[in-house]
Amino acid sequence: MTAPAPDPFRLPPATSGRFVLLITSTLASAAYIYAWLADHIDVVSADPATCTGIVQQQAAAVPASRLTDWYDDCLRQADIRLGLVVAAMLGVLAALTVVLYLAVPAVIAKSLRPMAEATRYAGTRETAERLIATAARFGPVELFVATDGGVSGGRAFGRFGRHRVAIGAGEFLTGGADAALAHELAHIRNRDVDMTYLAIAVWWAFLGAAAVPLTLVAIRAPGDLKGFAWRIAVLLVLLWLIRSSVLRSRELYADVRATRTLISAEELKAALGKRAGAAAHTPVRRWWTYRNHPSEKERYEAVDGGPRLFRLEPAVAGAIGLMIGFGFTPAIYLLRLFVPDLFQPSVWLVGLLFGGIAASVLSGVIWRSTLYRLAGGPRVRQWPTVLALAGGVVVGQIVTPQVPTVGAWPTVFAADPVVAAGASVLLLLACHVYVKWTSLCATAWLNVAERPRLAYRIGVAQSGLIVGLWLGYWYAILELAADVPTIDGLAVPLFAILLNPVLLLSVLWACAYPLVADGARGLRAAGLAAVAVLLAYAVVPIPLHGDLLDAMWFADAHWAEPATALAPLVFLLVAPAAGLAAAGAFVAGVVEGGRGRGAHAVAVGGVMQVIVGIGLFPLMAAHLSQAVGDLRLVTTATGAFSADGAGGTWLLLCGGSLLVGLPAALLGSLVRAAFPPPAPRPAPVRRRRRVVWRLAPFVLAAALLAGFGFQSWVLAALGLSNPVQRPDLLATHLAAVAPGTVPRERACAALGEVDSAVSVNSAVNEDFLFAQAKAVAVAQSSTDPSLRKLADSTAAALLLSHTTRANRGLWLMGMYCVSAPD
Amino acid sequence: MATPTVGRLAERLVSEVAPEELPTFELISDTFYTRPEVRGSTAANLLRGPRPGRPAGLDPESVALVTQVVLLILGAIVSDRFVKQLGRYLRGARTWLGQRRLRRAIRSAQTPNGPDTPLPKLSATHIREVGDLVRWVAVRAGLTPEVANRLANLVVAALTEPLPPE
Repeated sequence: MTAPAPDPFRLPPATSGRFVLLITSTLASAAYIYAWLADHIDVVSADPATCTGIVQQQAAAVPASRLTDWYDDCLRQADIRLGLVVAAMLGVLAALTVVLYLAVPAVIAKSLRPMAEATRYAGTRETAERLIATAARFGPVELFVATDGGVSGGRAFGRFGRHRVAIGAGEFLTGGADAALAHELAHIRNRDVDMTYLAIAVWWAFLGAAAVPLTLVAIRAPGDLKGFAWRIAVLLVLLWLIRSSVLRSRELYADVRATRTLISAEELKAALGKRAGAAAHTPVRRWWTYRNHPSEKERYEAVDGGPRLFRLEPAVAGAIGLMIGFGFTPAIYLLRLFVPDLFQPSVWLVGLLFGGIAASVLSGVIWRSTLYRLAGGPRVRQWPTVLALAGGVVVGQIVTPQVPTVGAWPTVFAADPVVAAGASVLLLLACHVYVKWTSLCATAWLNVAERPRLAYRIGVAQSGLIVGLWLGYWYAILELAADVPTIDGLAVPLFAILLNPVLLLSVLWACAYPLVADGARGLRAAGLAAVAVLLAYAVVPIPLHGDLLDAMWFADAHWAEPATALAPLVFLLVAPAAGLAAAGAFVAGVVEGGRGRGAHAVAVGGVMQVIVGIGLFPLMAAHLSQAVGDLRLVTTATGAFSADGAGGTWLLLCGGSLLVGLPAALLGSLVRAAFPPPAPRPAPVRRRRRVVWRLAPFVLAAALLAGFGFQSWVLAALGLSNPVQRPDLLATHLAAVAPGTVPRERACAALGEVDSAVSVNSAVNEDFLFAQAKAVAVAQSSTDPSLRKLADSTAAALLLSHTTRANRGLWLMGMYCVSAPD
Repeated sequence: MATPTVGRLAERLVSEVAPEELPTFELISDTFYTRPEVRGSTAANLLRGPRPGRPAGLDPESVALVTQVVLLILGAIVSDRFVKQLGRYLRGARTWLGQRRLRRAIRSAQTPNGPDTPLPKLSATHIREVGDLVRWVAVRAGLTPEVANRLANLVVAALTEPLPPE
């Protein structure tokens, strides 16, 4: 037998987030169309070619660095002009939305009569007076009666600050007027009226301000729409279905709210039943309206306290995935037109926007389903939701039109289906972890929270933050994979996670957050396991000190190949650490895990590993110091323990510890699950002071990681922390120049092949840098004087380790190659 | 004998076909005749059919009242111009465009003196066409074919014979 559902309003209804996501996706889809339209405005679309033409004219007279700067600036201005055109079109859309939003309530009210006027007629006086009295008790709301057949039940409408309710004249006869009013007032109390009419205004404005100009282009130049029209058609249909789904979701909450405040469930069901019977003979009309409305069966179930409002529905996850898929890429595209240099921040900014909104819906749904499970409801299968979410993102990407400057899943698929499949698997895993983790957080916090609504809001907010960061990073992976469609193209950003303090800290936060709710028992286990691992590491490598000394001599002798030279040293230091970290995490997993506690065990393993990662750093330094006799030798040789290098080392140690620790903890939990479960623990008692103490080592470790890690990360991003290890070799590659010997086509081809050298190995041993240098040298040898000048400037940046400028120079040469006339 | 007017006929038709609607008759007819925008929206709501773009309220379905159907039909047939074109409108109503034309004609027909407008004297052909119009409007507005037929018969009868004295 199904357990009775708890009070749905114990947690906030997750309707606002759905509307915001719908509105954002609609606006982002409009941006696509506008970008496409802007591209058909000759004055705007010809800008890059004009820049290139001027560069060709001025190449002889202007120094290389000035020419590069001017070309860069010219292309930026072209992008900004395009962005302004798109922004202006979006402004028209926004203005139209506002006009519709404000006008619709006035238009609706035009055909209504104030309820007070219905008291003048004998047949309606009594009901009208009763309705007016009910509405007056509720609050400031204007009450109308609809006599034109447009509202035969009830309708709540209006705008921010001015809400109105219309009751159909038919309800005066059926006795359903009170139920209709209660339902509509519940909409106002649930605060979904404003969002509903805003979403509808956006939808119609979108049709008017985006679809109409597109149709005009289609009439004038139908050939231009090849490959674009079907996408827009599918996009419109999907957006409409999602919109209807969003509209349906709010009705159930209104029904339940109405039965909690103004009328009984029986009265509402009686009103619904009469209507259902009266409408039964118009099946087509019913189908249309049910697109905006749940069926009576669903409504009865919600009113009767059934679990409908607590279900983890894959359709919701699929709709959210689709909306992310629709909206993410155009939002990045638009943002990048204005700030081309801010690749990572722009991806994260858009990630936070979409991740936040998506989490506010899906995390909310997961919290609700968890609430029902904790109240005795059945355990929910999460895989359908995970599949629907990941599938929705990919399908959304397939449907949306492609933009050449922004990487997307279909671009990667066209280049290499295996890489695209790999990216999809990563997304699927990320979605799985997200759903599991959110469920863990909800379980942990709803078990102890005295104010569940506050816990829910904090839980959803932090979930949005973390989902946003990782969603943005997944798109960044796609971005690179679109340029470098190889397995290496996937491996590099995955490896880069280990050096990214933002992502590492997000993992650590995600692990610690549910444990704090758990009366700090998990934190204690994590702390004890970390101390045990560090104590063991203080002892275990001592017999290896002789080998460490040999490894140092080996490194010194083979310095020409840094990766090879350091391999034995790194192995001797890291292998015992990795083994001990994995063993510690495994034991923690066995102790804390078990059936249904895998996610908890992984969280314990994560918190433990950050302490281990930070603690390993001084222990490694101490072992090296003992083995070599003077740590300064090691510091000079590797830079790993220097002030500038410490951040990177710490990041790598923490990232590496997490890499081995999380799976080990999960494995420990799985082993534990094979044995009979222990006796249930008493409910956790949270003592604030105890939690603070047990969090202290974790917070200290995380602070160190953040401080040093960010320093290292920012320096690396600016190209300042990694002086070239083999400057002579770089100079040699760049010196291989014979101006005027290489045709432009060949030089451009060489520049295009640079990306194929991307790999983790080439990043570590500088082979990628040398591949860039070789291509630049070929460009410097070009017969095209403009390309030569751009290449000279890029070569200078490479020699000075100005990574950002060098990369921009390579990008400019790429733009020159594609836009210069033959 | 009192002059037969659309107001009196409308009340009589409602009392015969849907007497349960009499308590709201005064409110609805008063609003219909005094506010032109309500007349337009009544025609739009009753004759447009499904409206997928609108968020419904408590009620998942818009169910027409007999009162509104009657007011709409009687409001249209007092227009001499409308009745003259009615045959053509009805013949064209098999297509979407023809239906649209008929809807617009019903919406724009004028009732000069509101409920006091006298009933028109129509030829047998026009009366038969009005009967067809009543069926078309009533079914489109959501009434059952039985109610639509009954309503049509009553309207035809009223136009054929003078109203009984009050």
